[in-house]
Parts: sequence; structure tokens; C-alpha cells
Amino acid sequence: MDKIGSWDELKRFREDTRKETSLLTPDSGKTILAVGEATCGIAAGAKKIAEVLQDEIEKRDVKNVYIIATGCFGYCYAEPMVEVREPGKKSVYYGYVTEDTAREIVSEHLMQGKPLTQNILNLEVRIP
Amino acid sequence: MSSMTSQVRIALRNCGVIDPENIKDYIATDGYDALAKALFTMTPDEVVETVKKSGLRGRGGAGFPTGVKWETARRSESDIKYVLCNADEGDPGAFMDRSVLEGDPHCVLEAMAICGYAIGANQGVIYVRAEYPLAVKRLQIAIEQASELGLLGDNILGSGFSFNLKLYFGAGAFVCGEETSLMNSVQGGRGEPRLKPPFPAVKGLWDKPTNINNVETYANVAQIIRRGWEWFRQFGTEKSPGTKVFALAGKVNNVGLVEVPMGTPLRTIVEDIGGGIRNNKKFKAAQTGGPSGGCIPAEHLDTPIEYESLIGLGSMMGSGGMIVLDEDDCMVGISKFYLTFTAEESCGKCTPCRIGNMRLLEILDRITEGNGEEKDLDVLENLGNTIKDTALCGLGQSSPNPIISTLRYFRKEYEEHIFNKRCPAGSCSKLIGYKILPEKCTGCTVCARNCPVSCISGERKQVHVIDQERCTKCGVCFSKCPFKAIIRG
Amino acid sequence: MAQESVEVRESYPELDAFYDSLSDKNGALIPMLHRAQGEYGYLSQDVQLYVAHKLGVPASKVYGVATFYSLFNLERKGQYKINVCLGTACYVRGSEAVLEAFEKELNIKRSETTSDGLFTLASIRCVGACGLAPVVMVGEKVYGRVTPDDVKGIVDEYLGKAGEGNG
Repeated sequence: MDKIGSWDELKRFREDTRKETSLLTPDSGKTILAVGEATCGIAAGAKKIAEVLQDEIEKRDVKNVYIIATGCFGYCYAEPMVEVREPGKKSVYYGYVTEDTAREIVSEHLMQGKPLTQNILNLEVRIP
Repeated sequence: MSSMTSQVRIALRNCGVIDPENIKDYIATDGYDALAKALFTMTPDEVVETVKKSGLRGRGGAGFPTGVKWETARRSESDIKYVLCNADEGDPGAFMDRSVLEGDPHCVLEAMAICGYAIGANQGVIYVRAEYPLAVKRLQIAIEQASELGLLGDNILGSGFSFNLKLYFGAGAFVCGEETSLMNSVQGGRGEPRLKPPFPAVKGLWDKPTNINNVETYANVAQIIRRGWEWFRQFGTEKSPGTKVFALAGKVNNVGLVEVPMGTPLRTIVEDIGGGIRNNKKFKAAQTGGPSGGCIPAEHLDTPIEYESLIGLGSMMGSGGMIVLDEDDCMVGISKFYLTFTAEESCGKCTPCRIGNMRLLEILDRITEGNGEEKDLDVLENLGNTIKDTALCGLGQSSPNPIISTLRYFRKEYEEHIFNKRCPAGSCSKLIGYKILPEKCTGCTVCARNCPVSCISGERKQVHVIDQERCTKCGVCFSKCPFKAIIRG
Repeated sequence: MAQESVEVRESYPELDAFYDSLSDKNGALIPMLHRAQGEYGYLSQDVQLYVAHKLGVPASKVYGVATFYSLFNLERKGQYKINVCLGTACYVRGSEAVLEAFEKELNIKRSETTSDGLFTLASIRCVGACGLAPVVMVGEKVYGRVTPDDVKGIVDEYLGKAGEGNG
């Protein structure tokens, strides 16, 4: 990557990132599976869950879905956690995710558009 | 659950949201905008003034106004100055800083660069626990990526301001959370504290003016600069603006990391966010401030959490560890737990801490073993207060707090141990015994088969008996008995 | 105590290279000790003397620093390091009983190493996985919600591994 030489360049870099590569914002039009991979999540098996999700996405050939590893969302008791971010929709948080739950997230939530009935955490956190 | 909305996230705003190993995610969420704003639209004095007006106070424990620290460092004349970050989270049971470093490392780097611009420093050091390998790795990646994009290093964004960052690894010493100890450790020595003044802002690392804040304090800075001090002050209280992150652990159902506006009642954290006490047990106390803090009992659950209110209750904010205790926790045992910790971690430089804490621990040992005497309570109080008044650094001055606060609220429990040789919580093993109730025992032999010292005898379908002489009070029989025929007392 | 036979080496090229790579030689002592322990597993008397010589500081200073910080070991450790977390969150959820169960199972006290050199038992202060309390770490692997009943299984897992390695 080249150095960013001015504030204007930083602003442009940000706009480009939001459109093209960032997996965070709805502008990108992508579906994101965010797996909490901080120490507690990893200790609870998050890496395995991420592998299973990746495997399932490839196997079932689901398009436009990306997995990212995030830090800790703060709900240690419910690790491993997976957040499903779909463009234009409210995030759905799954807790206590097992390998089976991970497969269902792909086959039911992503492929059929039906969020699971179990494992959903109702999290409301204000980020001002 | 409406409860969750009581959480407001400023320091943790990106944790769990962005990929911490990808700087693009941070930039996409307005990262490094605050640094640019400071560099191009504000003078260093204006940056200091904004932090001062925001009322941000140190999140590492004592709550010293951050802006005042920055101002002192700015005014200190010197060719070289340093910006230090205390990431040596030593309070056992607290993991706020780890989560920030693992989830959003760039927010700390950005804040340190802003601080460097404000006080006139070009070098920064992050002192991080070597026990946090993942945090270390993510910090390293973040520094590399920021340097590659020119957001750290020489001539940042073409502004003419340069700032370089280095990591330094702690080696396991709680006292290094104290700022002068931490600086001694960065200089390669034993992490022993020294007297203040001179304060680090005047004479710090390598005797140069140094600003030192902890991770969570820095995690607030970028948002304050980007959105202004008025924005920050809409959260929290007059004297303690903003939010505080707590590592909520212990006997609550929902262990985790919470960030709430200052002034939130303790009850909201324990009951709403924490989901109450596990296994329907009764809340006994919340321990805040770790080895430097104290226990807050049920009658004060509605106290709004602020620096001053916690000190008024004999505890302190500390770095944000909050351990919830239930009816099974012995308060004398908890005091002993913390004193064991401080006695072990005392650096040994000053006598009150080195020897005084050892004496306190010995007395607690005696009390929990049933050998306490009437005069012990007075000695604990007097010696504790003497240590508070005379120890050299913050570690020593606060080390008796766990005892003094539990004596204040749970004196009866100490008296039970001393006068009746009883542990009301049933936790001190020397003071409890197990007995089989003949009317409930079915002679199933489960207890006898599980007893690790084979001290339970009895024929099948006959009432069993525990040999009290040989019993080690491990409690295995108590937990294994399918008929609740074994009692503890 | 009888003097252990110390590893005598003329030079420590890994340490020399590390020292040369440091851009700032000020405050190099702790980074050097971290590196030395990473390379050789513990800080033997020889290594400490070598570091003192290399940095031009008294050996007493090196020894003083090495003994001040709990992460530095002056003795060789077992092949598997079992660390039981005694942070507050783990403590109130019963980690002391877990540690005692390990002491019984391995027949050693905390901070000791089994005579076969396989296990070192120690307590640590908070690995930051309080949601899984009580926590035990064996090497890098984290075991959560451990009860005294789980202890034998954990030890057996590594006994099995060690057996395979030898067979």
C-alpha cells in the first residue's frame, strides 16, 4: 500500500474502502459472518466454528458471503458467537454456536433467509 | 431484552464490529479522522484544552483528569518527550484492556499519536503484558499497517508531525501498573516505584517529560477529538463524564464485558446486564477495584457508579474488574485471596507494604483456620490504616482496602470465624465438617466409593458414617450424594 | 542445594544476533531475558552471566531483574506446563480445588516439576477468559469450566501424547 499523503487522500481512501473492500458497511452489498475471535472466543472454539462456516459456504456454493474475525463483543458467557450482517437488515447474533449450529446458519439463515429459532441473542448496544 | 440498551459503547465501539487485523476496517469506521482533524485544524493547545473540557479521567484506577496530565506534559520544556501506554492489566479478573487491544488496536495508536502532537512528543511506547500473546500480535500488525500507510512514522499525512511507536513487554509484575514502576521496567530494571513528585509529566521515562495513560483512557480520545468535548459530556455525570468498561465476572449468569455511562447504578449491571446470580443464589457483594478495591454489599446496590461514590463506599473504580459474590463466598476468604496476591506482588521496596501486608495475611490465615483471637480485628484495622498512610506507592496504599471494606460491611462474618469457629458461608475448609443424616441415607455407597481418602464406611443399604479424624473436608461426598443426605456445617 | 550442572557454552549466537538487531540498546535487559528464555527455556546461571557481560551491567542486576518478574524461570520446566488460573473470577468459581486436584494427581506441589520432567504445575493470574472460569491452560491450549473431576482426564491426555512420542 502507498502512503497516504494528506487529509484529503485519507478521506478518499475511506470512501473507496467503504465502497469496495470494507466488509462493514451496507454500501459494500455483502453479507458478513463476523466470528468473535478474541482470547475468550478462541478458547471456546471460535476458530473451529469459522472453519466450519467457511467449509459450508464453499460446499454449498453460497455467493457474496464473507467471514471476518472480529474482537470481543463482550458476551463472554455466550461464546463462541457469530453475527450475521446482511445488507439492509438488522444484524442477527448467535451465541453458544456449535458446529451444527454453524452449518444451520449457512443452510437455513443464509440460503433460505430463515434465521434460526435457537441460539439467537437479543443484544442491544448503543454505539453513539 | 431492554436491559441491553443500558450499554453505551465509546471505548468498545469497534470491538466485535471490525476486523482488528485490517486497518481498512478501522479507517472505514472513521479511523484516523481524529488525528487528521487535530493535525490540520487544531493547535496542540486546543487539543489539550478539548481533552480537559471533556472531563475525561484516567480509567486505570485513580481517575486523575487526563487533560491536566497532558497540560503538564505540554508545559514541561524538553527536547525529547514520551507518550506511554499502560497496557499491563494486572488486576486478576479484569480483561477490559485486553479486549480493546485485541478488538480495536488502532484506536489506541491513534490516541497516542494525538497525545504526541498535543504534548510535543515524537515517540511512544506501549507497555503490554507478555501474557497477552494475541493482543501483542494484533498490536504489532496494527503498528505495521499504520506505518505502511503513513499514519504513524515521519511526516504523518504530510503535516510535518512525526510519531513512532514501540512495544515493550512486561514480564509479570502487578506493581508495574504503577506508573513510576512501569517506567523503571521500560528502562530495563526492576519494576520498583519511586516517590512522586516529580510526576512523570515533568520527569518520566529516561528523565524526560512523559504522559502515561492506560488503554481504556486512550480508547476514548479519538472520539472526543472528532466529535468535541460537549458530545462526550452528554454521557455520564458532571464529575465523571463518559462511560466505563467493566469486566463482569464471578457468580453472575452473563459474564462479559460491559460499557455503561458513569452514574449507572450497580444494580443495573448486576441484575439487568449480568442477568442476576447463577443458580438462583443470593447476591452478597460486588467486588470492584481488584486487590486495591473493596466489596459493595447488597444495601448499596442502587449507588450510581462514579469515582467518588465508590471511594465513599470504601471501594474504588479501579481498572474495571467487577467480581460478583454470592452467599457461598466467605468474605474473610476473599480478603485472604487478595492479600495473598498483594503480599506476593509487593516489590519489597518499602517496609509497610513488604512486612505489613505479610502480617495482615498471617492474621487472616489464622482466622480462617479457626485460630483467630479477639484482638485480631483491631490489629487488622490499625495495621491496615497504617499501611494505607505510609506505603510508598498506590499498590501498598490500597492493599488493605479489601480487608477494611469487608470489616466495614461483614464484620459479623469475621466474628463468627473468631468466636464461634464457624464459617457462615461454608467455605473455609478448616472450619467446616460433613455429616451424614441417618434419616436420609439409603446406603447407596456412592459417597464411600468417591471419597478420595476412604474415610466413609458402611454396608450396602445401611447408614454410612464419616470418620471425622481422617476426613480432609474436600466436599466430594457432599456434591456426589444423590439423596442430599450429607450436610455441611 | 547441590549445584546443578549448568549448560556451559562459549557463546550464545542467538542472543548476539538479537542484541545487534535492537535499534535502541537502552533498556535492553528485559527484552534480552525474554529472548533468552524463549530460546533456551529458562535463564541458567550461564545465560544470566552472558547477558550481564553483553550489556556491561553487573550480574547482580541481571539476577535482580530475573527474580523480580514472575515470567522468568531460573530452572528448567517440564515438557507440559499446566497453569491453573487463580484470577478472581476463577477463584470464586472453584479453581483452588482444581489446583489441589492436579497436586494430588501429579503428586507434586504448585510450581514444582514431576520427576520424569513431563509436567510443571503452576498457578497463573488471569488469562482473560473469565467467561469460561475456572480455566486451566496446558501449554497454549485452554480448558474452560474445569472441575476437579476433569483433572485426571487432562493429565491422561498428555501422558498419552508423551507415550506416543516415545513409542
